[in-house]
Amino acid sequence: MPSANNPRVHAQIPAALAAAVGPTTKILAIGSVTAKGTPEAIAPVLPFEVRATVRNHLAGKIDQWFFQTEGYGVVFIMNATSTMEAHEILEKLPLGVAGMMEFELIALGPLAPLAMLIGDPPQS
Amino acid sequence: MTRRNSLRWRSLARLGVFAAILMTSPVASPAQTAANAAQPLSPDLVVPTTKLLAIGSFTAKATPSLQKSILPAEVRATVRLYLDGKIDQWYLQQDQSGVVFVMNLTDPQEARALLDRLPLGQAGLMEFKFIQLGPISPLRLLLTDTAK
Repeated sequence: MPSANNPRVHAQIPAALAAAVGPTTKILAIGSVTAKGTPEAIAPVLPFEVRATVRNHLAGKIDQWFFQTEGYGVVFIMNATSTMEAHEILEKLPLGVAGMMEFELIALGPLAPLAMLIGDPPQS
Repeated sequence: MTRRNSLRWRSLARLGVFAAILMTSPVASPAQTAANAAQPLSPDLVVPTTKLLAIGSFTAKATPSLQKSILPAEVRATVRLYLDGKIDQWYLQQDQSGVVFVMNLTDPQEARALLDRLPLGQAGLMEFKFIQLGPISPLRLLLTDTAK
């Protein structure tokens, strides 16, 4: 999954930026309700979802959590080092098990171009 | 066991029973009815927008030579936005498709105006989409002590 083709990746990435990519330190998880997740269907599951989410926060897996104020979904910034690791955590959440919520996962790392400010050579 | 500890354990036991009921009940208990009636953007789930998620992606126009010449200026302008308190968190997308910012702004138009003025934005090499963020409102379901 981490190496899956991403249509958003432009083929032409500058070599300097490509070489500067550091470790994956967080996973951005954008959760959206599926067509199956009608308000009526979600309501009885939501109390379980909340508790499972809090448990993941307490376990250090979910670092930051937000509600999408336009629409109906969530955004998590997760302490995971691969999208696969994050996927395995999120697919166990009740709304995920019920097929009512899907996550787009984006692997994040330090803002590597900052290295330009300190004159360091790009890290491989 | 001291009286204080005893009370604490009894309190925990009550919580355990409550949690067990919540976790095993296939249908909503009466106490949950109000919460379960929550519709999307019902009063229970409505929260203010407090942050913006900005997802920046290189456009098809972004050739390596163009990006390379602009990147140093882009970094400096980004740091200035951070120092102005506009950018709260910054990340690189590991697939090298762009950046992700968490911004201390609530209006996507204001954020777009700021980010479009960055060198990559001015050159049409990076585009942003925005998601308005607020407190994780379903947490309100845990506030069983406050009837709404």
